[in-house]
Amino acid sequence: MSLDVLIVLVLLGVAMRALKWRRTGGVALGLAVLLFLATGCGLLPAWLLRSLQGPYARRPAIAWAPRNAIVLLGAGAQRAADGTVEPGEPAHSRINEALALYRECKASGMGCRLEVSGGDARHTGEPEATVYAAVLERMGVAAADLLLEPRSMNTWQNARFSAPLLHDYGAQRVLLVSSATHLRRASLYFAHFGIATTPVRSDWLKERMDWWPQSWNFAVTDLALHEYVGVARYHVYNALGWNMQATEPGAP
Amino acid sequence: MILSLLIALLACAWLAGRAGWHRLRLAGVVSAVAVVFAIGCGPVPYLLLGGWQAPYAQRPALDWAPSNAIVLLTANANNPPGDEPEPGPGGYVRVAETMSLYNACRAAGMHCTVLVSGGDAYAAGEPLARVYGKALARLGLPADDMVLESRSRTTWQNAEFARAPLARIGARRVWLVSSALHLRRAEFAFRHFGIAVTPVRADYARNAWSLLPQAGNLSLTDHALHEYAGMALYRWYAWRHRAGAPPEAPASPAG
Repeated sequence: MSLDVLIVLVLLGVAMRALKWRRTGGVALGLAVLLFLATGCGLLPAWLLRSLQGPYARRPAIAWAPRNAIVLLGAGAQRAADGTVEPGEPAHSRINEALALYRECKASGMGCRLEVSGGDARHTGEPEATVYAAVLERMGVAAADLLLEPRSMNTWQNARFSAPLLHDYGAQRVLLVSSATHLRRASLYFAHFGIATTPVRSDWLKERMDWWPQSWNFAVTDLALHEYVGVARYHVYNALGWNMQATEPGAP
Repeated sequence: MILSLLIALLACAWLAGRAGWHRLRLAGVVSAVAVVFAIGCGPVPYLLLGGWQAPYAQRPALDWAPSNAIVLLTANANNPPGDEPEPGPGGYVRVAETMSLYNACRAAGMHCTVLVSGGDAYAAGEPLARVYGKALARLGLPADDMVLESRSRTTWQNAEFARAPLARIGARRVWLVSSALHLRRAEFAFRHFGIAVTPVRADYARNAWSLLPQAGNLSLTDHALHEYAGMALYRWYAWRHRAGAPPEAPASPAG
């Protein structure tokens, strides 16, 4: 997204100068340089990340209820050379955090379910839920403690399809495990479907402050913008009445 | 590295424009845009990653020795406000791979010791070995089966400083865990220091295919180029330290 804006600004600037609109062309090129530096040197991503991740910086101390559900949100899968499907690289922080919480929950002696939510969003032929569940079982999670939601193709559907599973289990405490940048949008969607969650971040994303532009900062900026767009879209749809209401007939 | 190339191209275009060479200016702008598309849409990172990682795509058969060492090469670390230092985004997958290797070792009835390697190379306030050690402990790795090496600041030193702890562990077989992209350089360094390792990849990097350029592909390309450059540097190190080479010249008294 950040690259597209820059390319459009540069091409616009060059075209305008070619058409002898020197002032306007200069403004477009100047904006492109400014945006390039603000993003590449880390200022813009730092600002975007701070308000996105800030509320989740500190992991909450958890008082386990009699029935707890740990919700693990899928983050992609890929087919490996040997033909098996494995979690993508960004998924591992979430899997590790969910596993660690599950172990703490079990140690408390309370009821624990680990819900894995994710369909075959990357078209690997296998839903993320079963791919991640296989990893978790190898790491010591009891198969009977796993709840699988293998249909959702995005965060909205994660929430929509998880809600009935969590209701059926009668979860009194729902821990929502995902990347720090993803939690604001994810917890918003879960709340929409009537699930109050305790968000727990699995990772922490940081810009690279540098006097010389870094490609990493563009990647991080795009990731953060994607989250802001998702949150904004939710509020716009709500204002327009386009969001599926959890209380509507047919909705879970 | 890629952004530096783009800046250079656009700076040339600007200078050419000032000098009145309008054709050259256009060529500079067009080639900069072409570079962004060639990398950002996926072809360049695809070519850079493919051959480099391929030898590590398949994980090795797990033929355990009676006594094994699993070396975890730490990645980056973060220090989020109000919390303790923790692995950075690239590190969790290596922690997970180490843990599943250790679990497989135990399930096979063999003995495995995990050597976590890394000093405080990211100024997190704590050596990477301890940060990653804590992450492993949360997943259930017993402290008795964990050894920390908290001095190394580079992959070269990961290998150099692994010799002593590996000798103490007395493992017959050494498994080396890292990202597929990193393993080529890491394996080279370990072999240089006389440690025969069996590399086991954690993540296998993939580019994204897209019609419009994606920043993630630029970042991945930079990452791959970092490995290419690092490998060239390590070949030079190895040549300089080759067996039979004259000892390093002592530093001149003036410097």
